[in-house]
Amino acid sequence: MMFDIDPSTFEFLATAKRIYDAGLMDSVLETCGNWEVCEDCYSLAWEGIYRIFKEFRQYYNERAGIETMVFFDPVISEFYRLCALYENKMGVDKDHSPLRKEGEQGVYGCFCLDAYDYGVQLYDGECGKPRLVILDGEEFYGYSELPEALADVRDTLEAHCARLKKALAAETSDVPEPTEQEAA
Amino acid sequence: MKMDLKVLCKQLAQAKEEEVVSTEMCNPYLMEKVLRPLMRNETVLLKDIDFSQFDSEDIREIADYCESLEMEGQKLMQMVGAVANLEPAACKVRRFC
Repeated sequence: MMFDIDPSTFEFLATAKRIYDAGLMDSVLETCGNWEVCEDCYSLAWEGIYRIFKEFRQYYNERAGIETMVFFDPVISEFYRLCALYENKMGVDKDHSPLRKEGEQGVYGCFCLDAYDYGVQLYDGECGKPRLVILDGEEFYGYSELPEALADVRDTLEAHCARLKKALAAETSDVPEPTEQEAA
Repeated sequence: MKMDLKVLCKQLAQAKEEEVVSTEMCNPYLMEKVLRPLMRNETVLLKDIDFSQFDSEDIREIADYCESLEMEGQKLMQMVGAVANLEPAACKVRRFC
């Protein structure tokens, strides 16, 4: 054989490129800069996954073979705070709020992974803190695509927060800032 | 199979030197800074890669290039094996006095 390059090298490069495109590379390099390009791409993906949002929790149900990833972040809390404010001002029910619906659909649209055996759900904080939850089963192999998808979620929520603020500003000039507890 | 080594040497000497697999579609940065060092068994670290120099499609192209090169390498090794397995045969006529 003339040379021997592990095909996983290209998966590692593709994962690293997604992390770079998501704007996370500087942070990832702090701990993984000395990794060789033939390392495991899933380990690299995880480095990106838990850096996007402020807080990350992970559970694994061994009996069901289901992993649960939970993400908390001020941008998720802010999105739902503004939704509630807007719905209150407009007098619409949250189930019929177009801006809430569009924002949530925008988030779900970020998960066009080349993988299956997973589900995504946003929770508005009616029970517990506002959060993004990903459930995945044993056949889920989309980890290397998650950093990019989660970065898209962050950008989508930021865009929808700006849109909600604009919509609220059109209604009133007084949009209260989130309390410290809400922001957290 | 019979092979005249003298003819083979002559044909090899006359053969035009060219790339077995074209690098035309390959990103030059990935070729020089990533693939060639890896082919030389050198270490390439994550921190040394400039990700602004290529896109995701370039990674696919270079993976395809590498696969094609590997296949050509296998063909070459098959030929080397075939030549190595040939039984030497003496010349039928005397070539010297």
